[in-house]
Amino acid sequence: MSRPKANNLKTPLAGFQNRLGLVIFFLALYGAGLTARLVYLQVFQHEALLAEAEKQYVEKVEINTGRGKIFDRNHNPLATNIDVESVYLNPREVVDPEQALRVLTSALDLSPELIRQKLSSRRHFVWLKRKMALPDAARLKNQSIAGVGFIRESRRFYPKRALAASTLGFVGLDNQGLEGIEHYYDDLLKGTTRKTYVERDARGRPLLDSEAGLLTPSPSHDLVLTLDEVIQFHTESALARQVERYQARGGVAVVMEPKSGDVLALATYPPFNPNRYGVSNSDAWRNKVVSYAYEPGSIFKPIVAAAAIEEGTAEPTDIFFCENGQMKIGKSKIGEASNHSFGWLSLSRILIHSSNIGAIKIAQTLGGQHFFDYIRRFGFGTRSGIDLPGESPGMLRPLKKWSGLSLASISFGHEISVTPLQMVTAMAAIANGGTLVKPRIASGVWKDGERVDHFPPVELRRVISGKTSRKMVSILKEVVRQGTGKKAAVKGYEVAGKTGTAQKIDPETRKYSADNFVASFIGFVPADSPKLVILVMIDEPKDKYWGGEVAAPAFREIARESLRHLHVPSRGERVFVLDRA
Amino acid sequence: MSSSNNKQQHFDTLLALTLGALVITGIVMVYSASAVYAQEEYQDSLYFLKRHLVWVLLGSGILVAALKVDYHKLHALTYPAMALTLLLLLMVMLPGLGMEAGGARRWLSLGPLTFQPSELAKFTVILFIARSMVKRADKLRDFAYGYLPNLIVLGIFFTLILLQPDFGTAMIISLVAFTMLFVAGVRPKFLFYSVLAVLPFLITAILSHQYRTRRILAFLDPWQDRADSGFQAVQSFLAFGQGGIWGLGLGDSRQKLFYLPEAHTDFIYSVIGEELGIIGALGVLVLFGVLLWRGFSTALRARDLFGTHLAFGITLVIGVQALTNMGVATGILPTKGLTLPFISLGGSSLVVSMLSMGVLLNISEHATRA
Repeated sequence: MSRPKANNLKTPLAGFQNRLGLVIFFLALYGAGLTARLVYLQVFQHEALLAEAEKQYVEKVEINTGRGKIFDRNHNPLATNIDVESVYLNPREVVDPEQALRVLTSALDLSPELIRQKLSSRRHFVWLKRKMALPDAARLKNQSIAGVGFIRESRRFYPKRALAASTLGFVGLDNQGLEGIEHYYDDLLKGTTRKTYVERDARGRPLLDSEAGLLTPSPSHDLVLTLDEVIQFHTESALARQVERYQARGGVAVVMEPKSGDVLALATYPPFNPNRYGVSNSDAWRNKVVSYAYEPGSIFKPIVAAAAIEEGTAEPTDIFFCENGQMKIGKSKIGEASNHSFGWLSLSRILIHSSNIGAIKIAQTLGGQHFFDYIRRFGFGTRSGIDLPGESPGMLRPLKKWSGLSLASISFGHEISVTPLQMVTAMAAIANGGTLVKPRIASGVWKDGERVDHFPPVELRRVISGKTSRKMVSILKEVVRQGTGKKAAVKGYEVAGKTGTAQKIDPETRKYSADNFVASFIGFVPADSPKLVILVMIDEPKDKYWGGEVAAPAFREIARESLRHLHVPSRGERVFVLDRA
Repeated sequence: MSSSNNKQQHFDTLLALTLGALVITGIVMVYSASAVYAQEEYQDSLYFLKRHLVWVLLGSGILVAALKVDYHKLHALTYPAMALTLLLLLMVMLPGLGMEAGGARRWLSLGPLTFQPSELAKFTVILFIARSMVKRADKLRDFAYGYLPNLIVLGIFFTLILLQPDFGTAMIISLVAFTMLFVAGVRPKFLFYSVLAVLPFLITAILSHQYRTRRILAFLDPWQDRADSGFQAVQSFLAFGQGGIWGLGLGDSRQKLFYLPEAHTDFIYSVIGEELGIIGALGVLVLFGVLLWRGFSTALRARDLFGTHLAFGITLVIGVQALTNMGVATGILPTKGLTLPFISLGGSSLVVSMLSMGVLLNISEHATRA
């Protein structure tokens, strides 16, 4: 077929039409490809590209608002929050870096190098200074520097300062719980708005009102503790007075309600201020009531006596020969404190005079297996399960590893180490009629003024019978009335308790030191219907080291003030019960 | 041919309506894509919209003028127009007159406005080829007389534009010119060997400029270097991708908030895809499809060969530029600095396109009824 000539007027465009068709075909093919590409991008890749785009719009900013508050049992605040202002920088929005550098250096008290480094950052968001006091931030705000922004944040505040600090713990810069209750209950207290996503444009400025979301605090979960801030205060001051008076290394004191296991006060010395925890020694942060295990010494003897009475191997009136002050077990010689020399003593008198040899004789009636079992049943050698971090189980050797001397040593509180909390819990069982309770420090969770969760008291097991308990109470009353614990007596109330003066092991010689002691007193009051079990331990007191001298007066002070605060009627008071019927 | 005496014919209404739809889409999208940027840079969210409207008005005036003037008068104006275009292209080269931006000299400064002579060159070259094809209609199969003169003229324009450099426009002009020659009946063999001869120079040109090489590499895998050379492409994909089927809604593009560069000019199609979804993106594609259909139809119905070639060339250059711009935005072509006709922020491109459409409508007005 011949190509039509262009000058053929009949069909001037016949060839043109065919070639145009070819062009249209290619254009249509291209259009179809373009359509396919659009379908691929906008339909099939929609989700993936949307997610990818989302990533560049949002910037993760970690802000904590509304951390839960902590209250004592009467809803007095122990840990709250105050409003502070944090300053951030968007380096890409800074107009005049030199001016910004000058103003920021003087206003924020930061080094020029640090600020210069932040100014040259490629990010859209860098913190300049966290948690400034509001007036300081307001002054900087007035300078209105382009690129400098402010975010209202909340800062943890402990209004009672050092009060109960070792129990409460503290939080870090991002309000994360680092120690104590703050750490243990961090998941609950930290609230819901830990991370905030701020939608930003490519120049790093927030879009719309997304930043407003940072300011709205969600209702927090507040924690109510079993602590009583008044008892806590008296406990801390009594402890501090005795530690300072005897220039001791430190000390702990615990007050517990024996029936419920509620810890009413928990004090450690030296104290620290959780608002400025950084300036104190990290050793002070440790809650030694749960994390430190001591050799208890003579305050352990009531455990031995209670076990023997419960097991029926000894009665309070049974008499034991106390070897006139010196006893040989294998190659070792065991003597009495202050070189006392006792002949025959009843079980009661063994506790009243705190005879070591007597305690050995009582333990021997039980035998290793029973003795070991009772120690375990009283809660030693295992963690109590209290809601505080860093609890130590103490140290109780398994029976298989006991030496010939172990039973004797443990009977007067050596070769075993216990935490102050374990000791108080065991004594609470003796005081409350024989039941071991699980100690607790938090009683419930509150939100918007209503209780949303409750941690009820837990009874773990019956360790001794009520009868044995009553027998122990009358023995321990005598310890205070006529024995080593006279200085623990509180006017108007009957006190039951036991002193302890434990030699410490010298870390260098690995032998018992002749100079370093732990002086302690553990007891409960009122003896016949106990409201409080109190333990005071003073670590390495100088001049005097007897538990009855150094620790018992602190017990008395704590007991007296707490009983008054709780309106516990004294013996002389008459209680009128109004019959409503 | 004879019926036009009895009854005044009307221009192609569908073509005019399509053009109107494209221009209105442009006004809306230029405002949507530029408002935030304008507010940020000029403290006036209407800054670019106002400028665009001035160009639209100017373009509309020129369109109406072109519509009133019989296109046959262009036949005589071809050589003066070519001389003017060449003069302007040379003026761009002069340091005092040409405006340099981004390493290229493409603009002439005319007071507050700038003019891009290579845009005018698109129209002038088409005009020349159309005239040439009529003049050489009998000898198109002859190399020396039928083909070579076209090649030389094209080569001059091509070289001047490439020197600016404006690679994209040079390629569009050559592609359209060659297609016009092919459709007119020039032997495909000539065209094929010409391309083959130019190919080594083109490859050298691409490799000599690092940014072109990187554009090609970024085109092959934009995600590889998404922070730098692949940035535009990736941001454009993200715009289309999140637009999905229905789009984020008019005005709600997030990519235009400084993520997507040139959102109101070269990448306006991405903002359309993001705000109006695939519905909007295909809608614009369909509008250009209708424009091509009516334009080619006008070429076939034109009263004479000059009208046929001119209508074909005008339609093709607008269609090719639109399809190339969309191809760049969607990543099926490497990045080039080309606007989307009638929709991108106005300038000489819009004015020349409007002029071309005026001529095209005028051709349709004089067309024989098919």
